[in-house]
Amino acid sequence: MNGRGRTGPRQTLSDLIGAALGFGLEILIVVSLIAVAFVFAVAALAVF
Amino acid sequence: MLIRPGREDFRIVAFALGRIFTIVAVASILPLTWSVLGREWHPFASFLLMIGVFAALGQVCLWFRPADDRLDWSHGMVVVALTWLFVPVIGSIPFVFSGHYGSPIDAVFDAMSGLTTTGLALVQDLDHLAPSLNFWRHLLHFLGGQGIIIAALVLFAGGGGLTLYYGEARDERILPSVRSTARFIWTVALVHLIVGVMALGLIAHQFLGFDWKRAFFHALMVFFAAFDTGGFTPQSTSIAYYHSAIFEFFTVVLMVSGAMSFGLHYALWRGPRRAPFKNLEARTIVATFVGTLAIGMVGLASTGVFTSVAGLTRQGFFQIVSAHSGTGFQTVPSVELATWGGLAFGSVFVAMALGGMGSSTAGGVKALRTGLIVKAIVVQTKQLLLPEGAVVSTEYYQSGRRRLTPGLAQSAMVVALLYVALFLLGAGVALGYGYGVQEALFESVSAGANVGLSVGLTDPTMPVLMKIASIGQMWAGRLEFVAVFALMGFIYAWLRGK
Repeated sequence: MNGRGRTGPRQTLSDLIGAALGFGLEILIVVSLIAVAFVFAVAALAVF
Repeated sequence: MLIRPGREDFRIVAFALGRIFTIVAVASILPLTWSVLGREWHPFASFLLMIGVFAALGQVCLWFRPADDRLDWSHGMVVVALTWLFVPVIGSIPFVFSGHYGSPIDAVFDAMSGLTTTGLALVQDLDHLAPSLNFWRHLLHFLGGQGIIIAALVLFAGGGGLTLYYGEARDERILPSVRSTARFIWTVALVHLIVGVMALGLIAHQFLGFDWKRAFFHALMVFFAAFDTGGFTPQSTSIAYYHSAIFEFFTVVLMVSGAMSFGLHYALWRGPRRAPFKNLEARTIVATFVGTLAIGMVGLASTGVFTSVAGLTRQGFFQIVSAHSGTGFQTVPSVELATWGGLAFGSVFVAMALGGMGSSTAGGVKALRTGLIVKAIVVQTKQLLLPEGAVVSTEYYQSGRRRLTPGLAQSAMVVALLYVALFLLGAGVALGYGYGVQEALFESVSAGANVGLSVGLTDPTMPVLMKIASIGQMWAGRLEFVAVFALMGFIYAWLRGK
């Protein structure tokens, strides 16, 4: 997007790739956070 | 001295409201259609009445066409504040006639909770509510989360769009024009809608054994509530109803996605893809999330609520994400959440108050403000400790290098303080009725930060004044005060101005 409202097949394809990357990253963020939560859980249960 | 608004000012406000009511009337055709397909004739009649009221009011307002329909700052703010008051009131009509609410106040409470994406509910016997009414509850999340005003901006390119946009508590204009920004926001939402409903529907069908129709229904409802960080669910036991780790996982993905700013979505879609991760806001939310998660885990482990790593990780993680994103889904019952004393309770409480990112569907103080306040405190402390005349950097990165000016720090602190005041006000009402400090504060923060987690106070039997206070908290919290103050000022100027 160049900020001038350009649309068309290339823009749509670029958006689709961007959306797929976005979803991939969202899943990666959640998996990373679960890993962090797991480490905290192991550590917390080990202490208490 | 305040200037009394003139006839033309009222015409401008009425005309803009007329456009918005017309849009909501059109959107309300969706639950009406649902009721026809499901042969739910009682809800059908109440939806018809609601559409009639929206359409009639819209048409009456449109008669007041002003000479110039360009909204200035105060007009826009007043329009936003009134929209978020009128839509829940009229939108509660189907609930009032459903027989699932103890009083009209309860119905307005749920409609306000839906529109402000809070998720607290006073509905009775939710498990037997007509699907079309359940759909309307969740559609309110979608309309509120994506923004009725945003929809209006997409459809009408009238002047003054920017003031409406900011009035709805969105402080980041992603694209050069407000209209293209609004279009992008709706595109992101629609793409997530398709992918999210497909993913959740497949899981419900394959792993939970739901037939396709039921799987689609639950997927759609949970999507609306998760992506718009709302918190309503089609069943009274919230997400615990599904008893599925993979369903919870995808729900978390949608909650995280909903709590992300649309600026971040834009960067992920259209680049530059790495830049947003340098932003103060992104770094702040990661820090506060990891912090509240760590404290919550320690708290839960110390109280012995969960004894297995898997149980502690799954329940603790889900509740902290739900609280921090402002969603309010629960995988533990309210009565059990109330027993999470000490650190665990405190971490959920703090996560709710901090909220998600700005220009997202989440509520609360918001990560950027938290980051700016912390930065301001660090700068002040350095200035005190370093020798006189030493230069302390006030730079921070947020879509480019910026300077933290005293005005910016002050405005972040003022909004944060207003949230604290809102939380205390709601808690004060509950304390007046004899509820405990901890539960009163928790429920008040949940309403004011538009979260929806509950320790059991929000109940059809709660006093009317508490219901009205919560409605006010949800409204003011969602609009981040500015539009509310503008409306108060407008009314005051009308009564006392010259």
